[in-house]
Amino acid sequence: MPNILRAVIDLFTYKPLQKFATEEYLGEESQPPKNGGGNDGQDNASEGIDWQKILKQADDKQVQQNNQGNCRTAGAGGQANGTVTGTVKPTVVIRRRNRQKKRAGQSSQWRGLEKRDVDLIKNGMVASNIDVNMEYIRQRFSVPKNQDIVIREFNVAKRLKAFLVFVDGMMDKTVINQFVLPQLMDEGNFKEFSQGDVMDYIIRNVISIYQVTRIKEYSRIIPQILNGVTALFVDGCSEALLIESRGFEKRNIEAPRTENVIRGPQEGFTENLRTNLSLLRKIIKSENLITEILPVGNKNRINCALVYLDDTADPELVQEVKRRIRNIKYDFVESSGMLEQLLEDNPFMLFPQVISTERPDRAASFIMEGQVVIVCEGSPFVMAVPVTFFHLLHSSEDTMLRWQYGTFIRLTRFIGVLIASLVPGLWMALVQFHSEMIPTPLLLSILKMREAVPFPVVVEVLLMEIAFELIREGGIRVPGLIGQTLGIIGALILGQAAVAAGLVSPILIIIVAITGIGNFVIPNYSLAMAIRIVRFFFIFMGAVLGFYGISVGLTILLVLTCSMKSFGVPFLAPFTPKTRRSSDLILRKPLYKELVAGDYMDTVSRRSGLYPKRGE
Amino acid sequence: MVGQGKFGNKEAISALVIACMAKEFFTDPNMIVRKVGTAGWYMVLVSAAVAALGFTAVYFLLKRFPGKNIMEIYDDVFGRYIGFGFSFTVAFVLLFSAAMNLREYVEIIKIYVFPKTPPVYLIGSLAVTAVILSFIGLENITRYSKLAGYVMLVGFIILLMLSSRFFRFYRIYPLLGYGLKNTLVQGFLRSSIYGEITLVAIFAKSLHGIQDIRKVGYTSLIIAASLMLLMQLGLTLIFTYPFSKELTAPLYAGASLIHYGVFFQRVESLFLFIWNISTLISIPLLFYMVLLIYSYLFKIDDIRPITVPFSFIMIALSLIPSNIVELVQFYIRYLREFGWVVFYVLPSIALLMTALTKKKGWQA
Repeated sequence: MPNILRAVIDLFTYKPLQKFATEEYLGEESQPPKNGGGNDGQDNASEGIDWQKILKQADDKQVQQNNQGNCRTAGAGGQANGTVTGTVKPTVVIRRRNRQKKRAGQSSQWRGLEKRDVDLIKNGMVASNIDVNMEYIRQRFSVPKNQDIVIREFNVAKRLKAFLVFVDGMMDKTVINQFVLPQLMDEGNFKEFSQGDVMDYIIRNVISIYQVTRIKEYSRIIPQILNGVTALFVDGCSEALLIESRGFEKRNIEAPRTENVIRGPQEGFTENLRTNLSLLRKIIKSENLITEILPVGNKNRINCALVYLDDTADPELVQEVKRRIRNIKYDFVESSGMLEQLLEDNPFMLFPQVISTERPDRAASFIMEGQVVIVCEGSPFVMAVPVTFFHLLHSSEDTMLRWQYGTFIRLTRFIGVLIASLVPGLWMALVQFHSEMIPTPLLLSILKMREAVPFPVVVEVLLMEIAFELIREGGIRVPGLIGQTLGIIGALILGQAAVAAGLVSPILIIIVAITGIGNFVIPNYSLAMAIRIVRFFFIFMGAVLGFYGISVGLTILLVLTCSMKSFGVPFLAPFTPKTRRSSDLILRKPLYKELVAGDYMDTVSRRSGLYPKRGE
Repeated sequence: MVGQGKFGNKEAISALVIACMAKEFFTDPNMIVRKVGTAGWYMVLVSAAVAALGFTAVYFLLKRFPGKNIMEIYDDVFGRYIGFGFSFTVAFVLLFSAAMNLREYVEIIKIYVFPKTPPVYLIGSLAVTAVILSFIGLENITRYSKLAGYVMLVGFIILLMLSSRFFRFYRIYPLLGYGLKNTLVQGFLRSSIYGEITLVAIFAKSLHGIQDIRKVGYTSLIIAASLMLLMQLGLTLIFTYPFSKELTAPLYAGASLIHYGVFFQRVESLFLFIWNISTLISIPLLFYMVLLIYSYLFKIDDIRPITVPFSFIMIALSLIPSNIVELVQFYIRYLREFGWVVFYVLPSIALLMTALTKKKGWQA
């Protein structure tokens, strides 16, 4: 029944043709904003807009003003008295409008509004009547209920009605107070204005702001306002002026918290998109470094920036990243972590398919290799795609150190991965099924230690592993120094007490400790998490079927890993499938012998200038 | 078809070599010693020569029908019904071979590692692995083969090196074993130990062309023959041949001899990974080939629905032998001694037919 009712209402509701908007009012293409604000794809959101209310209120206001014989030169504040000075000739505008109104006839239901304004506002365009615009903005932002949206009404040069819209706290007050309002209100700035485009005059002669844009569509204006840009509406102009005035509170650049290096830059990304982009630009000073801004999230519309080298990144990869971001149908994307989950190829795979870093130098190296970096507003972590297993094992320090040291620490990490994932499982298998492998003196020692332990080995191992996970998680959640204390308490006292109480054997403490240290060696947090989970899988397999079980587990896990892809690039490339590889996988060579990009990335310029593409 | 995909030569070579070698880690060395005595190490070369001839027939057949796999070629050459019979025979032999290898592996591992574990438990776990790997696809199985292949090769070389202290070169005598004629005949009969090389004809479309097929086939054969030669020679040098005949799994027994000091001893369990993983690759590979042939024969687009039922068939077949003696003395023996008919003779007949009828790929 409600559906039928809605259909009937729809049938009798005025629906302007799309053609109207595109042909008549988009003929003159507005300059796209360059200020990093997400604006495309935003629906006009005309649903929920009460057109009747907007138009009625605007119309009433207009009629009231007309009745007062108050021409538009007068301010809303009642300052107008017809004392026109200077060269501003608003009467011309009024006469023209009156003529248009007469031509439009009296058939319109809106007595004070022009048909053109009604059509414009219904098509989501800025109307020339400022009252209509004001009502539209009020309704879109639910003003006055919404109290951090500021609508500042004033008169341009004491004559033309105008208003500014901005979000309180997201703009720089100095910009508005010193460079916008005083200049617009000052009559002296309009002395040279003769008949013509007021907006153009304001841009060229009045406002001394480095970046201003004229826009007609509300679908582009509203997101900009929400991004901290100030919009200026002037009566008689069917365009709004977007004034770059963003200035919200942000954190200073600090050292990365999760990717520390001994040697290398000590600055990390912050939550501010622009700061992060500038950090990348600071490292890659190339005109081919492209930054594209896309909004994400159906409702919160945060901005994320795609950064890539135009002459290096695979164009298909760039298109694919954009396609995936545009196709995200999710209301609330909070930060890069959520975006990663919405972008990855296969959400059911354990290993990460996107690499995230908080180091600008690392992100820059990804860009140079032909990867696309995604910088997300509100997150100090940027993502790079595609990713392979070897990327996850690298850290930015590897290339900062001499090749011998770099190779050594990489091998250490690789051993760390093996230890972290396999050692508890192997221990289980060894003790349960293959005890003949353990040398007799050691076996006797182990048996002696385990004599007092009441649990089977599997319970003992699981007990300690779970305790270790609890300590680790607790250490992360509690603040700073207490976290460290908790770690010490957990590791030393709990372990010691557990041994003393005869709950676990001392050798198991060593096994768990080695496993934990092995896990800490892994430079990528997501990979480390995956390995933590894999460890329990191998414990289970080792407990059930010994080395055979671990072989089964390894086979299934590795075949699944072989099947993984990140944006079309196999996870184990360039090893399998083999491609002409970048030499920078596990073993490092002297820097001058290392190629920057492997062809598994299918980069346009395979070496970022070092070796040519096949067939060239 | 799900997951067949394309892969490179190294991936294919690794998969084929592992498929050939996996079954040789268990009772085959024992059987070879029983048949030819101390001449086993070069008997495998005789078998390799026969296999090379057989593979040449397969290669020429594939060359005449570029872009087609062996099932399509059988259909083109013999028509739908006889072609169906040929392909079905291959599928059955492969399934039976997978089932018998599975049972052989389980029996051996049960003897040495899991004496109290019921065989179905082990067979079931391997069958589940085969099903999962089949779901993931051939492309990824071969990639994993390459990944594991290097590790297994290193492990195999380490095993031989560590065993070398037990080599006694006098044990190679008598050089001719039970006689040259016997060695040649047995070498010919047991040429099916390399029969898995001809699997390349089933997944021919996954490679990048006939040149790659040739390269993959011959390289796999050479590598497999070299490894078998090393293995057989090593075992001949470690154990006297009367003693070898008593060992169920000579390679495992050889590994158990290794000891260097008090600490490094009884490391045969460590080498279990080599035979575990090779079996975990070879059986799913054979199983997948069966699924490929069957889905082709019955025009099934997706192999996934038939994967689980076939795994039950494989389990059922593997449970047919009542004990290891029956398994080795009857089933595996006849599979090894007459497998060549399916692997080499059927393609040779098809090649002969194409030569007689002058049929070629582009005409078919």
